[in-house]
Amino acid sequence: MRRSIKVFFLSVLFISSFGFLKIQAAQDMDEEVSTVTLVITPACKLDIVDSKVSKTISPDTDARASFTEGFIEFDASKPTLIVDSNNKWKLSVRSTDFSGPYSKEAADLMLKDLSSLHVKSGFSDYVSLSNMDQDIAMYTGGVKDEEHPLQYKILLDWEKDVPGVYEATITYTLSTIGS
Amino acid sequence: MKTAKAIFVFLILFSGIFIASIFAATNNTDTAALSMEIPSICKLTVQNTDQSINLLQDASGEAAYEAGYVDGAIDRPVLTVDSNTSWKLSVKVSSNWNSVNGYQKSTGDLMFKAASGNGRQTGFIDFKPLALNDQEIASSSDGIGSGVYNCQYRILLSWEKDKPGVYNIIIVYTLSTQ
Repeated sequence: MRRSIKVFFLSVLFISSFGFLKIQAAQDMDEEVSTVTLVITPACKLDIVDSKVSKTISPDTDARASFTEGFIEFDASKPTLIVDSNNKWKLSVRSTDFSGPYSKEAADLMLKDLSSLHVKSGFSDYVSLSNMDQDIAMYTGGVKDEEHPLQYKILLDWEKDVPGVYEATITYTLSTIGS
Repeated sequence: MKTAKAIFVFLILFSGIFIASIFAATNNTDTAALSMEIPSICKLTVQNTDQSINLLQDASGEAAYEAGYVDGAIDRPVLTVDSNTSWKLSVKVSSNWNSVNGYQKSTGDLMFKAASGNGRQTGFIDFKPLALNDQEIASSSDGIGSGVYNCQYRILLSWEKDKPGVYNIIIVYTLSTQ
């Protein structure tokens, strides 16, 4: 009799365990993977606001004052350069000689960068331009919408700068450095 | 004589019964038992699993940075769900982006969206950042056959942070019965 009871309980335990295992195995799962690769190459973007500037020297006292001082200054922040880069970068500038009554030298055109960010020494004040690239600003990291407000100044000479229209083309180059 | 007559009658009757049993229509019924146990089963298929995006040094690369993101191709990947019971489809990234020259791109810069017409979608209807933990894309209390989810990745970009390099990440899709 006692043996029968023992067998009965062992059977119940076995059946319960089997049922439990069945419940544990009831869930199914499937897993898959996907990969994403993003390749970023060095990139930069240069925008110029107010790229064309012009000044007319009228034959009045201001004009005389300008010639007497030896220069005329253009409006501040015209043009303004906007720099974007995802890498180390530099900003450079060069100019043609002036076209007009005579070939006024590019060096008579001066430029300064009014920005407080990453301006290369020298261009915090006026620097004469040349036909060769000169670095205005430089930085070792990426930047977004970094503004470089500029200002021009043209040297004047009573003897050389005869009346006429003088034009020069200034080229700004933003380039990334390294890989 | 009486005994012989009785035997003769018995033989006639027995023969009649025997012949009748041969020509009578048989009607034999029996039963067989059939049992099939169906477990919870689900299947996830991923097509167009791998996605490579190249940012070019042209206007398209600049435009992507200006927009603040670049989109992967449409329908990369495509998920197909089959399940014979209630189920849940989820997504996570297995680990962070690889480091590029010491820079660790944020996991959430990888965004994901899915589109489906089967009415079981519960998340990622629009682009949403992925994370290291599972997030639900779709679920249902019923089974489904060939439930298709057309997916797309988007990667956020920053001029200041995302320096040149190759960035990799692995995304894990999990379909589980409930």
